[in-house]
Amino acid sequence: MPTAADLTVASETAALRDNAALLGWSLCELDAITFVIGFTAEDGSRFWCKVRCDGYKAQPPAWHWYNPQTDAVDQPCDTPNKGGFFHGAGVICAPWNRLAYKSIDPRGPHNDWSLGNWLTNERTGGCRTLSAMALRIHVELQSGMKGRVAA
Amino acid sequence: MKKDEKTPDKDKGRLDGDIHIEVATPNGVYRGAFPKTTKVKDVIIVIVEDRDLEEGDAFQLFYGEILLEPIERPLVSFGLPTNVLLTLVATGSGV
Repeated sequence: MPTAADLTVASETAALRDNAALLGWSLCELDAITFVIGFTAEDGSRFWCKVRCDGYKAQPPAWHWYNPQTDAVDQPCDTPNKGGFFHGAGVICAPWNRLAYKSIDPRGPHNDWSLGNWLTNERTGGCRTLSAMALRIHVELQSGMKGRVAA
Repeated sequence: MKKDEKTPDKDKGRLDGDIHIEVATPNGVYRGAFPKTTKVKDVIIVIVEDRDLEEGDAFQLFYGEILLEPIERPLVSFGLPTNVLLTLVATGSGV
């Protein structure tokens, strides 16, 4: 029996696939609530995210930087170095990323945000769909990059 | 401003000097053609309506890394080619 998260992710997958095809993202759906998405940065290098959507949209997805060769997540060598939105702690700093919450991940910069209110957090803005989130990451990778957090 | 789903319209648009856009949006891909003098803000309004996005949300239109702002400027002023791939990005971040 599909969960609410399964159904919500499924309802957003078509748009995500369409955008991936248009922008050259790689998209691999691992199961009903988990996918891997690859982006090309301004210097032509590739960055991947492994996205876990359990509980979505009661809670935001978890956007992990990912290495498809090793299957490792959250490694500095797979994390873009830019600062700001791509926080130096190694997590995407946005209310729509579960890892930005210190209550979830000790690297999370924010203990002032409430996980259950992520949809109404003013900093979420219109980033309330998986495609919106992916587009934000795509654009951030197009300028101001300084390589990776570690070689 | 016309939605670009019919080949004849598409060809006519090219002859008229329209700019044909493909736009990745938070709700899938928008395809259409606009007179090159169309202001960016009006393009955003059309896309938001077509893709059933929330009108109250803030969006930015990008050509690669180039942010198409100020939005009062016409498309042609950004030097866009006749056929162009854009991204419509919802604002929102932490830090």
